[in-house]
Amino acid sequence: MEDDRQREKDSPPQKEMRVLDMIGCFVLFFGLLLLIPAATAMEVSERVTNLLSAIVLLVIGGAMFWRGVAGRRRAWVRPVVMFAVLMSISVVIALCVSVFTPKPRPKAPVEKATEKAAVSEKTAEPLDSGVADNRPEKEKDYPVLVAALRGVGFAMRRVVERIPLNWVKMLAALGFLLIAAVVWLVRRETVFEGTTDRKWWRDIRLWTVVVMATQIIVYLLLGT
Amino acid sequence: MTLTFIDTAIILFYMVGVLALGTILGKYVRSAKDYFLAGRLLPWWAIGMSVVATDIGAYDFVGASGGAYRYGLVQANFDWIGCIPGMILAAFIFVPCYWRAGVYTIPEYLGRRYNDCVRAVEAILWGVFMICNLGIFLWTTAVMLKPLMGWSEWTSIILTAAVVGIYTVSGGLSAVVITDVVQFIIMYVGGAALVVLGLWKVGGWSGLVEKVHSLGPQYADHFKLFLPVDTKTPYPWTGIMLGLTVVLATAYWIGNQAIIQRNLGAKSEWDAKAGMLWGAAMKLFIPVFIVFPGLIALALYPGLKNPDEALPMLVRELLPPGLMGLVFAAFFAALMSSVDSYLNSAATLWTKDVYQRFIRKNAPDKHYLVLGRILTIVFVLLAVGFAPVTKKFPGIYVAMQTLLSFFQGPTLAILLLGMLWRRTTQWGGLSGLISGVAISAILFAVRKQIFICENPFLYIAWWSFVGSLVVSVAVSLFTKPHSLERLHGLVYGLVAKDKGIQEVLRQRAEG
Repeated sequence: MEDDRQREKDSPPQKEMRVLDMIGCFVLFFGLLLLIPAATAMEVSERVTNLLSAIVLLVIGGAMFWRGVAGRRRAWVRPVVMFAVLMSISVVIALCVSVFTPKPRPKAPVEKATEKAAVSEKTAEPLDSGVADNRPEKEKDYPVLVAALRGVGFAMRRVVERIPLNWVKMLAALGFLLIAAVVWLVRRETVFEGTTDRKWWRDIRLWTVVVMATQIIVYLLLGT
Repeated sequence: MTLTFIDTAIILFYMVGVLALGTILGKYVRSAKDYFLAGRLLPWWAIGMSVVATDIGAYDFVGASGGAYRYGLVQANFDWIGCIPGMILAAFIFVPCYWRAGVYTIPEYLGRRYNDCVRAVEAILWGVFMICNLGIFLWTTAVMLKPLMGWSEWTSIILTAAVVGIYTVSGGLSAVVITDVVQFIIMYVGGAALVVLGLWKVGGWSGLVEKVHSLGPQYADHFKLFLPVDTKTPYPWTGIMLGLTVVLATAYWIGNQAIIQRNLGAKSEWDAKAGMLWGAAMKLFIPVFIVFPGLIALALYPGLKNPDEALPMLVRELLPPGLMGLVFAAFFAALMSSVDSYLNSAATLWTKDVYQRFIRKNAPDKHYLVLGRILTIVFVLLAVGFAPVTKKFPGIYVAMQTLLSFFQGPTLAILLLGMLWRRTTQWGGLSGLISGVAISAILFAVRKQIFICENPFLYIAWWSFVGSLVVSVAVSLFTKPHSLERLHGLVYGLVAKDKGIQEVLRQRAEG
């Protein structure tokens, strides 16, 4: 009886659920921690962004935690206690650090002005795209090899330079479309190899179509 | 700039929480299979999130936003066209084959398909690359944290290495994947918060486009995904389509041990495939979180001397208390999710492909488990030592891609041929691999004389792939083909026909 219970506890689905509830609980406590700045921030924009991030984390963590502990009595106790303790320790240490770290001396107006000037100097550099033409003027090393490779390279370049960028964009979209179509050549049995759960949404060929459709839209919009 | 109490609390909670979560999972590790492949129990949703979290390292946050600041939206290609097709190819062809072959590593597959020499070369190449990569990851933390928190480089590097090292040593792949799931969620929420606030500040998408275009004619192409062939940036469309999409992305998604390892630990073949596709779907959002901040920083703070400072500047100037802590946690999440995966994979490679294959073949299982843990500790220390070397490279992201381009092309060539063409022989594979790396090295040496663009790593990848492919095919045609028995379970068409493997799969599916 005891052995059966232990075997049940060590079975892969049970292990998966135990891991899922720990991940969910960890993320959940992250969300809770973010509620503190959401409640104490001075500016509205700061409150809103903190609150939104906290809600997202609470929803994701809550869903995983719920799924992980469902059907397992008192399974929630251990992860909740563990992460509550860890969070409390973190908060206490952070408080100690902030209390005992010496505060930076408030800056005098003259210092502030100097700093401001330094920043504006830093960002007032003449703009360039950061690209340098590093072609050497003379070919010093490997003259024969370089001459041969350059000859082949220039011939190829003359061909590809004539291809308009719009064609390249269309070519990319066509490639994505082709991939989305080709995966349907894989048989259904092969797709579901190794699983007995054959719900329609678990067909990875459908997943491929969704991913490729998104790529086609992105490349058609932003390609050139 | 100092962090408030709540920011510090969030970062601390993240660190101790991840440490506790990862360490707790150590109790499930009883064998080498548990440590290196998570006992083959991983579900698809965890694999997908882990794949994305592993791929997006801290260098993406700093380097990709710096790249977007400098070159524009073209940087997003690395996560769209430079990822998604490769992930789909991996999901439908390569992942099922690896999973059915029951291997621990990609070099192990290559060793079975070709010979031990190919296996050793690949294992050592990847092993060295991963340790260098770990150093780059750790260095980016130092770059990001120094101006923001005032920490010295060594403080950041040692703190991150210690936390990641402890839970990876304890929990192995299970700890890596499960902490990746948390890190994925934190990364997405933190990244989204930064972009929403940034777009709010610049007046939405149209405001962003308007502000960047008003900076001058040199920014006219900043919102285009394809740039002309004669662009001075490292990303002409030919390089993006051939070097990135065909070679680097495909090689990365089908041949990177750190990525594929979680698929090999899937609980079923369907979970392995679905995990990769779920990752592809999640990957669609990544450029929004790592490329858009660079563009927003350009609109708000043009003329930064070092574009890699774009993201730190944005975080410092834009985020309120609370969100600042969350974004820092997201940054740590990105860093740790990559470091832990590379650590675990490097330990797997050296244990399975070098130690178990060439040094001690038939040791008890516990022996390999202990060795895996010891190697993880050694690699943490090596990565800490390598981190400052990264400083010598001008751009973090480009340095990483340059390292990759050296052997990604040849690896892709022999993987494709090995999986899809049964006529490829062991000598074809070995000569293709060696010649491809040699071509990369030669092209890199003369790159300034023969290429127009600033850093031609995409072209180097493409030509090393083509060269390797040609040499492999030519040598294979002149050498004795392998028997069908030897190829069973290793070549795509023959995997489906292998009755033994199909029987095992059926039994697994029936529970």
